[in-house]
Order: sequence, then structure tokens, then C-alpha cells
Amino acid sequence: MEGVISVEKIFENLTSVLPPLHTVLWGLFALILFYTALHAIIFVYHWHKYNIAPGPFLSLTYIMYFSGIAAFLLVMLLSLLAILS
Amino acid sequence: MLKLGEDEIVIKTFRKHWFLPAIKTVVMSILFVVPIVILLTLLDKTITTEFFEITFSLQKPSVAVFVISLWGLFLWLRFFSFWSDYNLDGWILTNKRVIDLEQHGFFKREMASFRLERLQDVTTEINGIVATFFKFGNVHVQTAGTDREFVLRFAADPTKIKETILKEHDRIIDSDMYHDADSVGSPR
Repeated sequence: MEGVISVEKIFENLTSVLPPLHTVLWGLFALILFYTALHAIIFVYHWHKYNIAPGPFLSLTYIMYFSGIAAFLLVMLLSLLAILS
Repeated sequence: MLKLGEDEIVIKTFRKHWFLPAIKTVVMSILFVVPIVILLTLLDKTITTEFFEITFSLQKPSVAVFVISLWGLFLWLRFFSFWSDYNLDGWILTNKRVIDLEQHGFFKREMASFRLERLQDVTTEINGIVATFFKFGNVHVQTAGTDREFVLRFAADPTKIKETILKEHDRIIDSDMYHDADSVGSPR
């Protein structure tokens, strides 16, 4: 008895019940983008309003936070384009 | 931002110890690396037992990159949620009172304060070898006329915090302003 576990197989099975792969993946990406944007707005709001020690540390935190988000989203976007090509 | 009284000045701000975010950073990094290591270890490997044989294959590496990036993004957002919880907590000692700020997640924030002349008891608590080595612990403050106990957990250098608060408390007690109030019948 032999079984092959691959992500592609799972995607193949899902395509029979789900809308086209392009729609699903772009929908997923949009959902992630929306969640991240919401998180970012809440994060910045709280830090701006409540941080008791503003100054260079505040902008440094923002730079680090947004650069991390941008890096992950960029890699996700590129890999998504590679999957769908 | 925090609003203080007209003649109120901030003397010191007490924060939690850096050990807490350091440990969280290590844990988050491990959690990020683990799936990559598992993937690289199992890739193109075949596990054979008496009953079944499983081959792990990955025809499109971009799928793995997408999933790992999603995991990384999730951890990144979780870390910054923790970070805001950590960094927005603290005590502010002014020349009149101690303000206790506590953030719970994003949508719960507590702010309480007590006047220095109402301070009754300050207790520090350092538990364990790690806390002793890195100098962090809990500071408990008991005030007069209230059941509430003010606690700053994982405070950096709790003994110093205790000394600073007590010093300010003594200054208030010895000040003319307090003695004037005392003379008209305020409890001492």
C-alpha cells in the first residue's frame, strides 16, 4: 500500500468542491491583506495613543513592524503568482 | 497620552523587564523555523512501515513558501500584539502619585492611581534562579482605605522600584503640605 502526501493533491481534491483555484487563492490573499491592515491600524492607534515614551523608539517600532509585514506579504504575493502561473 | 496635573511632574517610569520579550522572541523564532526544518527533513523522503509507505513530495515549492510566509506573518502579528501588551504596561511615579497602566490585549486597558500619602506597604517578590540572576520580580503596593492591591509583574529591578517609591513617599510625608493637612485633622 502506497500513499503520496502532497499539497498539490490536496488542492486537486479541493478544486472539485471549491470555486476555481485562482478565485480561492486571490480571495485568501485578500482576506490576509484585510486582516493585516486591520491589525496594523489597531496597533498604530494603540501605540500612538497610549505609549508613554514616544520619540525615536516609536518610529523605530513602526519601521520594524511594517517592514516585517511588507516582507512577508511580498513573498506571499510572489509565491502566489508562481503557483498560479 | 497621559494627562498630569498642573504642578505634577514625572519622576520615574517603571517598566517590565526585557527578559520577557527576549524569551518571546526566541520562542517565536523557533516556531517560525520548525516548519521549515520539518519540511526540509521530510522532503522526498519515504517512510515505510509494515502497513503503509508514505512519500513526501513537493512538486511546487512556491506552495510551501506561501504557507511558511503565512505562518511567519501570523507569528509577526502575534509578536507585536504581545509587544504592545508588554510595552504599554508600566508604572509612572510622579511627585504626587503612582499611576498603574495595564494593557490586556488590544481592547482592554486599565489605568489606576494612588496618591503617595496613601501608600501603606510595598512588597517585592523575586521568585526563582532566573529572576534572581536577571533581577526581575513583582512589586506589590498596598494603599490605605482600599482593597485593591497594585501589582507590577516582571518588573525590572523591583528592589530599586521599592526604594524609589518609598523615598518619594517619605518626601511627601515630611513635606510642609502634608503637615498642614495634618494639623486640620487628616489622619497621619
